[in-house]
Amino acid sequence: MEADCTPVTIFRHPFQEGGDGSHTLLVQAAQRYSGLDPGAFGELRTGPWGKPFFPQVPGLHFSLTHSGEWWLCAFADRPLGLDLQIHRSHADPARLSRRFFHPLEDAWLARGQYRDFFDLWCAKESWVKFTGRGFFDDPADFSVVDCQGRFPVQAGLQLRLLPFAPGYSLCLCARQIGAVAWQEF
Amino acid sequence: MLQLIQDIVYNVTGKQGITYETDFVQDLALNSFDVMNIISAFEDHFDTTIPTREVWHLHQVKDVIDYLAHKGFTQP
Repeated sequence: MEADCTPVTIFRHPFQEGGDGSHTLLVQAAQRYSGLDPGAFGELRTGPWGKPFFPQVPGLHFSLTHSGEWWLCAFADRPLGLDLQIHRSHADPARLSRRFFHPLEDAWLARGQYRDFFDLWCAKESWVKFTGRGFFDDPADFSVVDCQGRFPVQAGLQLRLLPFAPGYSLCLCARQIGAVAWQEF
Repeated sequence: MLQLIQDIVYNVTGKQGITYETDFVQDLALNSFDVMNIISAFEDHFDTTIPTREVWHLHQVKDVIDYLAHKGFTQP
Protein backbone atom coordinates (compact mmCIF):
# COMPACT_ATOMS: atom_id res chain seq x y z
CA MET A 1 0.00 0.00 0.00
CA GLU A 2 2.87 2.31 0.88
CA ALA A 3 4.23 1.82 -2.65
CA ASP A 4 1.07 3.43 -4.01
CA CYS A 5 1.66 6.58 -1.99
CA THR A 6 3.24 9.58 -3.61
CA PRO A 7 6.22 11.03 -1.74
CA VAL A 8 6.16 14.79 -2.13
CA THR A 9 8.95 17.33 -1.76
CA ILE A 10 7.96 20.95 -1.24
CA PHE A 11 10.51 23.67 -1.90
CA ARG A 12 9.95 27.03 -0.31
CA HIS A 13 11.60 30.35 -1.00
CA PRO A 14 10.87 33.90 0.17
CA PHE A 15 8.78 35.63 -2.50
CA GLN A 16 9.49 39.21 -3.36
CA GLU A 17 7.77 41.10 -6.13
CA GLY A 18 10.40 42.09 -8.67
CA GLY A 19 12.81 39.50 -7.27
CA ASP A 20 13.70 36.19 -8.86
CA GLY A 21 10.92 35.24 -11.27
CA SER A 22 8.80 32.20 -10.62
CA HIS A 23 10.27 30.49 -13.69
CA THR A 24 13.81 30.95 -12.42
CA LEU A 25 12.86 29.60 -9.01
CA LEU A 26 11.08 26.66 -10.62
CA VAL A 27 14.11 25.60 -12.65
CA GLN A 28 16.38 25.93 -9.62
CA ALA A 29 14.05 23.84 -7.48
CA ALA A 30 13.52 21.28 -10.25
CA GLN A 31 17.28 20.86 -10.58
CA ARG A 32 17.64 20.23 -6.87
CA TYR A 33 14.72 17.81 -6.80
CA SER A 34 15.67 15.79 -9.88
CA GLY A 35 19.44 16.11 -9.97
CA LEU A 36 19.20 16.86 -13.70
CA ASP A 37 21.36 19.44 -15.47
CA PRO A 38 19.67 22.78 -16.23
CA GLY A 39 19.68 22.01 -19.95
CA ALA A 40 17.69 18.83 -19.42
CA PHE A 41 14.46 20.68 -18.72
CA GLY A 42 14.14 22.48 -22.02
CA GLU A 43 11.21 24.73 -22.65
CA LEU A 44 8.47 25.25 -20.07
CA ARG A 45 5.06 24.92 -21.68
CA THR A 46 1.53 25.22 -20.43
CA GLY A 47 -1.39 22.85 -20.96
CA PRO A 48 -4.70 23.94 -22.49
CA TRP A 49 -5.83 25.46 -19.20
CA GLY A 50 -2.53 26.95 -18.17
CA LYS A 51 -0.87 24.22 -16.12
CA PRO A 52 2.91 24.41 -16.67
CA PHE A 53 5.02 21.37 -17.53
CA PHE A 54 8.39 20.41 -18.97
CA PRO A 55 7.76 18.36 -22.15
CA GLN A 56 11.34 17.04 -22.02
CA VAL A 57 10.86 15.65 -18.50
CA PRO A 58 7.40 14.06 -18.64
CA GLY A 59 7.80 12.16 -15.37
CA LEU A 60 8.41 15.35 -13.38
CA HIS A 61 5.19 16.57 -11.82
CA PHE A 62 5.04 19.83 -9.94
CA SER A 63 2.65 22.44 -8.65
CA LEU A 64 3.53 26.08 -8.03
CA THR A 65 1.92 28.50 -5.64
CA HIS A 66 2.75 31.85 -4.12
CA SER A 67 1.04 34.11 -1.64
CA GLY A 68 2.15 36.78 0.77
CA GLU A 69 5.85 36.38 1.42
CA TRP A 70 6.26 32.83 0.16
CA TRP A 71 6.78 30.94 -3.07
CA LEU A 72 6.30 27.17 -2.93
CA CYS A 73 6.67 24.35 -5.42
CA ALA A 74 5.74 20.73 -4.74
CA PHE A 75 7.37 17.93 -6.76
CA ALA A 76 6.41 14.29 -7.14
CA ASP A 77 6.49 11.51 -9.71
CA ARG A 78 2.72 11.68 -10.12
CA PRO A 79 0.24 14.52 -10.60
CA LEU A 80 -0.40 16.77 -7.63
CA GLY A 81 -1.77 20.17 -6.74
CA LEU A 82 -0.59 22.61 -4.08
CA ASP A 83 -2.07 25.91 -2.97
CA LEU A 84 -0.92 28.48 -0.43
CA GLN A 85 -2.99 31.48 0.59
CA ILE A 86 -2.28 34.25 3.05
CA HIS A 87 -5.30 35.19 5.15
CA ARG A 88 -6.27 38.56 3.75
CA SER A 89 -7.94 40.67 6.39
CA HIS A 90 -9.88 42.85 3.95
CA ALA A 91 -11.58 39.91 2.23
CA ASP A 92 -15.27 39.41 2.97
CA PRO A 93 -15.46 35.62 3.36
CA ALA A 94 -19.26 35.44 3.55
CA ARG A 95 -19.71 37.38 0.34
CA LEU A 96 -17.04 35.45 -1.55
CA SER A 97 -18.34 32.15 -0.25
CA ARG A 98 -21.88 32.86 -1.42
CA ARG A 99 -20.64 33.96 -4.81
CA PHE A 100 -17.97 31.38 -5.62
CA PHE A 101 -18.45 28.30 -3.46
CA HIS A 102 -20.76 25.29 -3.73
CA PRO A 103 -23.89 25.51 -1.53
CA LEU A 104 -22.60 22.63 0.65
CA GLU A 105 -19.39 24.54 1.22
CA ASP A 106 -21.14 27.83 1.89
CA ALA A 107 -23.45 26.22 4.45
CA TRP A 108 -20.54 24.45 6.15
CA LEU A 109 -18.51 27.66 6.35
CA ALA A 110 -21.47 29.65 7.65
CA ARG A 111 -21.94 27.16 10.50
CA GLY A 112 -18.37 27.90 11.57
CA GLN A 113 -18.64 31.68 11.13
CA TYR A 114 -16.35 31.35 8.08
CA ARG A 115 -13.23 30.75 10.20
CA ASP A 116 -12.15 27.95 7.82
CA PHE A 117 -12.66 30.05 4.72
CA PHE A 118 -9.02 30.10 3.64
CA ASP A 119 -8.50 26.39 4.35
CA LEU A 120 -11.45 25.66 2.10
CA TRP A 121 -10.20 28.03 -0.56
CA CYS A 122 -6.83 26.25 -0.62
CA ALA A 123 -8.49 22.84 -0.75
CA LYS A 124 -10.53 23.85 -3.79
CA GLU A 125 -7.56 25.42 -5.51
CA SER A 126 -5.28 22.44 -4.83
CA TRP A 127 -7.90 20.24 -6.51
CA VAL A 128 -8.14 22.40 -9.64
CA LYS A 129 -4.35 22.52 -9.79
CA PHE A 130 -4.29 18.73 -9.57
CA THR A 131 -6.69 18.46 -12.50
CA GLY A 132 -4.81 21.17 -14.39
CA ARG A 133 -8.07 22.90 -15.32
CA GLY A 134 -7.71 25.83 -12.94
CA PHE A 135 -10.97 27.67 -12.44
CA PHE A 136 -12.10 27.18 -16.03
CA ASP A 137 -14.64 25.00 -14.28
CA ASP A 138 -16.93 27.14 -12.18
CA PRO A 139 -15.73 26.81 -8.56
CA ALA A 140 -19.36 26.58 -7.43
CA ASP A 141 -19.84 23.41 -9.51
CA PHE A 142 -17.83 21.14 -7.20
CA SER A 143 -17.53 20.75 -3.44
CA VAL A 144 -14.73 19.73 -1.09
CA VAL A 145 -17.35 19.35 1.68
CA ASP A 146 -19.56 16.28 1.46
CA CYS A 147 -23.20 15.82 2.46
CA GLN A 148 -22.14 14.69 5.94
CA GLY A 149 -20.17 17.88 6.47
CA ARG A 150 -16.75 16.22 6.15
CA PHE A 151 -13.92 18.44 4.93
CA PRO A 152 -11.72 18.27 2.95
CA VAL A 153 -12.95 15.50 0.66
CA GLN A 154 -12.79 14.74 -3.05
CA ALA A 155 -13.70 11.33 -4.50
CA GLY A 156 -10.67 9.18 -5.27
CA LEU A 157 -8.21 11.76 -4.03
CA GLN A 158 -6.58 13.00 -0.86
CA LEU A 159 -6.69 16.61 0.17
CA ARG A 160 -4.30 17.28 3.02
CA LEU A 161 -4.12 20.58 4.87
CA LEU A 162 -0.50 21.18 5.85
CA PRO A 163 0.76 23.34 8.70
CA PHE A 164 2.60 26.45 7.53
CA ALA A 165 3.37 29.89 8.90
CA PRO A 166 0.76 31.66 11.07
CA GLY A 167 -1.80 33.47 8.95
CA TYR A 168 -1.49 31.12 5.97
CA SER A 169 -3.46 28.13 4.71
CA LEU A 170 -1.84 25.39 2.65
CA CYS A 171 -3.37 22.32 1.00
CA LEU A 172 -1.91 19.46 -1.03
CA CYS A 173 -3.93 17.26 -3.39
CA ALA A 174 -2.85 13.90 -4.88
CA ARG A 175 -4.24 10.40 -5.36
CA GLN A 176 -2.37 8.98 -2.35
CA ILE A 177 -0.15 11.37 -0.45
CA GLY A 178 2.95 9.78 1.06
CA ALA A 179 5.67 11.41 3.11
CA VAL A 180 6.00 15.17 2.66
CA ALA A 181 9.54 16.61 2.82
CA TRP A 182 10.42 20.29 2.93
CA GLN A 183 13.42 22.02 1.42
CA GLU A 184 14.44 25.66 1.82
CA PHE A 185 16.49 27.31 -0.86
CA MET B 1 -12.15 52.38 -17.90
CA LEU B 2 -8.43 52.21 -17.10
CA GLN B 3 -9.00 54.40 -14.05
CA LEU B 4 -11.75 52.07 -12.81
CA ILE B 5 -9.46 49.04 -13.16
CA GLN B 6 -6.67 50.90 -11.41
CA ASP B 7 -9.01 51.77 -8.54
CA ILE B 8 -10.39 48.26 -8.16
CA VAL B 9 -7.00 46.55 -8.31
CA TYR B 10 -5.60 49.04 -5.80
CA ASN B 11 -8.53 48.61 -3.42
CA VAL B 12 -8.33 44.81 -3.60
CA THR B 13 -4.58 44.22 -3.74
CA GLY B 14 -2.84 47.50 -2.92
CA LYS B 15 -0.99 47.36 -6.28
CA GLN B 16 -0.41 50.56 -8.26
CA GLY B 17 1.19 51.69 -11.51
CA ILE B 18 -1.16 49.80 -13.80
CA THR B 19 -1.12 50.48 -17.53
CA TYR B 20 -2.91 48.95 -20.53
CA GLU B 21 -0.05 46.47 -20.96
CA THR B 22 0.14 45.36 -17.33
CA ASP B 23 -0.09 41.57 -16.98
CA PHE B 24 -1.97 40.57 -13.84
CA VAL B 25 0.16 37.52 -13.11
CA GLN B 26 3.55 38.37 -14.63
CA ASP B 27 3.70 42.02 -13.55
CA LEU B 28 1.47 42.21 -10.47
CA ALA B 29 2.08 38.67 -9.20
CA LEU B 30 -1.61 38.21 -8.49
CA ASN B 31 -2.86 34.74 -7.61
CA SER B 32 -6.29 33.16 -8.10
CA PHE B 33 -7.63 34.52 -4.84
CA ASP B 34 -6.73 38.07 -5.85
CA VAL B 35 -8.42 37.51 -9.21
CA MET B 36 -11.60 36.23 -7.55
CA ASN B 37 -11.70 39.32 -5.36
CA ILE B 38 -11.24 41.54 -8.39
CA ILE B 39 -14.04 39.74 -10.25
CA SER B 40 -16.27 40.23 -7.24
CA ALA B 41 -15.47 43.95 -7.15
CA PHE B 42 -16.30 44.32 -10.86
CA GLU B 43 -19.55 42.46 -10.33
CA ASP B 44 -20.47 44.84 -7.53
CA HIS B 45 -19.58 47.86 -9.61
CA PHE B 46 -21.58 46.78 -12.67
CA ASP B 47 -24.29 44.97 -10.70
CA THR B 48 -23.85 41.83 -12.76
CA THR B 49 -22.42 38.32 -12.63
CA ILE B 50 -19.28 37.55 -14.59
CA PRO B 51 -18.82 33.83 -15.40
CA THR B 52 -15.47 32.84 -13.93
CA ARG B 53 -14.59 30.61 -16.88
CA GLU B 54 -14.65 33.68 -19.13
CA VAL B 55 -11.99 35.61 -17.27
CA TRP B 56 -9.01 33.26 -16.98
CA HIS B 57 -7.77 34.06 -20.45
CA LEU B 58 -7.72 37.79 -19.69
CA HIS B 59 -4.04 38.31 -18.97
CA GLN B 60 -3.51 42.02 -19.46
CA VAL B 61 -5.44 45.12 -18.46
CA LYS B 62 -6.28 45.83 -22.10
CA ASP B 63 -7.84 42.33 -22.34
CA VAL B 64 -10.19 43.23 -19.48
CA ILE B 65 -11.10 46.52 -21.13
CA ASP B 66 -11.88 44.72 -24.40
CA TYR B 67 -13.91 42.08 -22.53
CA LEU B 68 -15.97 44.67 -20.64
CA ALA B 69 -16.61 46.62 -23.83
CA HIS B 70 -17.66 43.43 -25.63
CA LYS B 71 -20.10 42.70 -22.81
CA GLY B 72 -21.51 46.19 -23.08
CA PHE B 73 -20.22 47.37 -19.71
CA THR B 74 -19.40 51.04 -19.75
CA GLN B 75 -18.33 53.20 -16.89
CA PRO B 76 -21.30 55.11 -15.46
